[in-house]
Amino acid sequence: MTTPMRTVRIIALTAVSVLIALALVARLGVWDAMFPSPPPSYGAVMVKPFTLVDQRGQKVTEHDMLGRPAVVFFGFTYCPEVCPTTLADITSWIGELGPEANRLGFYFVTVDPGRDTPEELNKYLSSFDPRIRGLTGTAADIDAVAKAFGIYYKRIEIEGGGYTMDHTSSILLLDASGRFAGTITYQEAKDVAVAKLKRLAEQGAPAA
Amino acid sequence: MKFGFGLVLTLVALIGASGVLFARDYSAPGVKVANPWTRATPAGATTAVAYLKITNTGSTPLRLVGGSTPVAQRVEIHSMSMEGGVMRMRPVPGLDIAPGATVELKAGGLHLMLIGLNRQLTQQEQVPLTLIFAGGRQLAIELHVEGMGGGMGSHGEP
Repeated sequence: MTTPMRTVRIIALTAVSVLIALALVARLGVWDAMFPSPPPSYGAVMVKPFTLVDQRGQKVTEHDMLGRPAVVFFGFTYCPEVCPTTLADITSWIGELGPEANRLGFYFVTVDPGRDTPEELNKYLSSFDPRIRGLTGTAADIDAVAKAFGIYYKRIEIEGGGYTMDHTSSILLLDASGRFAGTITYQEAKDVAVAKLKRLAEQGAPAA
Repeated sequence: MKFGFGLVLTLVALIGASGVLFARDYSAPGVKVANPWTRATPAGATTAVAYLKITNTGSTPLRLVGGSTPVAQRVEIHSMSMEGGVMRMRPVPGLDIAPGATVELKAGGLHLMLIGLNRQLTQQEQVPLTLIFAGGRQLAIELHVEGMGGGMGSHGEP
């Protein structure tokens, strides 16, 4: 039989255990390692006012991104593995989605605006689906957008010349109001990724 | 269920076949390299990655220190890690391979980084690359260029 006293004790014990677990996670830095920037929460508004430029030299602001769900990936053209692979994956998902893909906006935002000029982005993105819009801008503008999207990136100097960029590799999914609606992680299975994009496209459909 | 099993068998056969068709093994006294490959690069890309499996078939330690290729300014050994969704790459000065041991450079992990590409790499071509080991030993190999997509897990054993 569970007496009220016992129930109270169980609740108290559970609360203490949870607190100890949380303290351990914080102390071990597990959370920091998992999410170098605070993890976004569902429904959080990610799209804040911004002004960037696309690969054709056109100005792009938050108003262009809002109005239909968006698929946003941060990377850089000097990136040898994750970025070309992800852009090739996005291109194949767009092919799989067919006309439904037009209900989504696809964006590749550089974390390396110093090297990724609109011209560089234009050349690079010519190898992928033309619906992927490449965005670049000043270092300050890129930084503000990355922060708003909860994207971690850091320039790392390489001995012997040059540098590389550490960066969050997940693809962010946003609804038509610019709110966080999920992620697609690097190398996620194609059917799972396409299902997520289909769901996102449906969410963004105008009410019947 | 039956269909699923058939599909798996077909995939295994395909992966096996692709290995037979494309993968080449290269050996020199004391060293063997299996299935060297890279990916097609986007237009204007300045970097590429290469993967392979190196076995020390000799009786003395082997240390890979780098490489060279006519398609890029330089070749470095890099490690890649993915923690909390953040991708990080770092140069590695050398890779020690004990006698009898095999080190695999593969997607999502250790790889050769081709820096300063002077041309685009296209699917199905072969790209020459020379591996350089400590002591000045070299081994000439050819990277098979695969498609741009795909990566971890999409390449089976040759």
